[in-house]
Amino acid sequence: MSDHDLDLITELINGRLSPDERRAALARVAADPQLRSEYETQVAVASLLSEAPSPSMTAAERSEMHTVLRQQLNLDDSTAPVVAAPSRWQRWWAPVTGLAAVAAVIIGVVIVLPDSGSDDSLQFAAAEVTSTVQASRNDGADVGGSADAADGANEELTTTTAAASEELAPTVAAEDSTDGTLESAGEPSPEALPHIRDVDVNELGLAYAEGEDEFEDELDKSSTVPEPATTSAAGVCLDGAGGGENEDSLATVATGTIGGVDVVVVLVTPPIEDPYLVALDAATCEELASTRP
Amino acid sequence: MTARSAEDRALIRRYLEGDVEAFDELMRAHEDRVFGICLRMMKDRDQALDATQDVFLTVFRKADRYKEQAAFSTWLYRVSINTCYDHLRRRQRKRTEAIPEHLDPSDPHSGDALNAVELRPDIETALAGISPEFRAAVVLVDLEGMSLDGAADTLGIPVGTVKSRLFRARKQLAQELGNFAAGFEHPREEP
Repeated sequence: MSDHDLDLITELINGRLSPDERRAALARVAADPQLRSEYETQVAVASLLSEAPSPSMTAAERSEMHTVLRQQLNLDDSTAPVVAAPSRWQRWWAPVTGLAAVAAVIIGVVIVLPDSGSDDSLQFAAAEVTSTVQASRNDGADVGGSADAADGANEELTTTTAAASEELAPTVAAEDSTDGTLESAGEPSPEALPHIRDVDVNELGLAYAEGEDEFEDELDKSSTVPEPATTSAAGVCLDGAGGGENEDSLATVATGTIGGVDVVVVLVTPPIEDPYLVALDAATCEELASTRP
Repeated sequence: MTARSAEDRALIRRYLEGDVEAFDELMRAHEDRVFGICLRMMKDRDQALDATQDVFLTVFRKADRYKEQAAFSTWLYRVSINTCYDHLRRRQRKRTEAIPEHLDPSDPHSGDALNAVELRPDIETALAGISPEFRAAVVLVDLEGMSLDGAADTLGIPVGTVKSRLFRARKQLAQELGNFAAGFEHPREEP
């Protein structure tokens, strides 16, 4: 049975077909014994599930939850609800990104300058470093301030990082061309992405599961040391994912080896939530850890 | 925009302005559905209650970041599913760390299954036997009555992926529950 048949059956059951399409689909299902059998199984399970009664909380459970939430949100003590605590992402990811961008630009300056010999390149790179550091400082000042301001700083950092990555891509291409053949500078390659060496995402994930304090303690132990990544698997896990209007935006932010496992760290930016990091096993794309809120 | 959706947005705005009654109204409007999603995802009632509490804590703490171009319920259910994924991962990790010798982890009647007193134990147990990603698709579409598009928005995946997960999830559920095709009445619409 093809993927098309699979979709056809699901659409038949979940009503996404026009009347004409539905008639044609039913005729196709009726004509194929295997399709018919699959269709009947799917309908039977869907019917069974849709008829299951909805669970609900007891009055006591409901009351207890409201009480706890009111306490946690300080709703009984103040007129203004507690909102907009800076997210973990805002507290630690922006400085990490900023540091990575600074170091990437410095690496770019060190390697590119001898080849180019251009004063303009130096001035451009210096400007990038200045603006990135400024963005990091701005972001630090915004922690505890308004979320909008913090988001603005994050956007600035992201832009700067992207610029730094684009700078770094041709650098790596030139560096690899030891046979004297210069490769053309195109899209930034996965190898050009910074590697956050000392962030152990497995430990990070475990700490995250234990609680916010443990998570932040673990983050405090981490330091960022950008260097070229060693794996080209970064893009593999992202193939075919994201890109739609209502889908998460995915970007590989780091690759490396942790405990013998090639790991890809992906920044996931959902359309309606805060961004978060996911560490994937580069070989299987299995999720190892995440800072998903 | 549906009436519910417009009302939710108005309630969020009121909540952000300090109106505590808006909190109560939002809770009343959504808590049972969130709990239903969590219970079907987690299977264990106490853990589902914990997850439900965490969902609302997250949502109210981040209420100011809710962007009104999407329905509030889409955001809420996405947070619900993600919170359940996190709780399931923690549970899995704890089990991996310490599995009691007298329990076989592959036995669906061990552990949490003993505490399951919800509705249709056969369905709950079958649901627990499939992967969380497949379970989420079935919970949203078949149990909560969400459209394929709505489930795709909530899960943040393409509609095609929802269809694929749904099909495979139902197939696995049928195997878990027995041979449905042989024992059931004719489908609702005979081809």
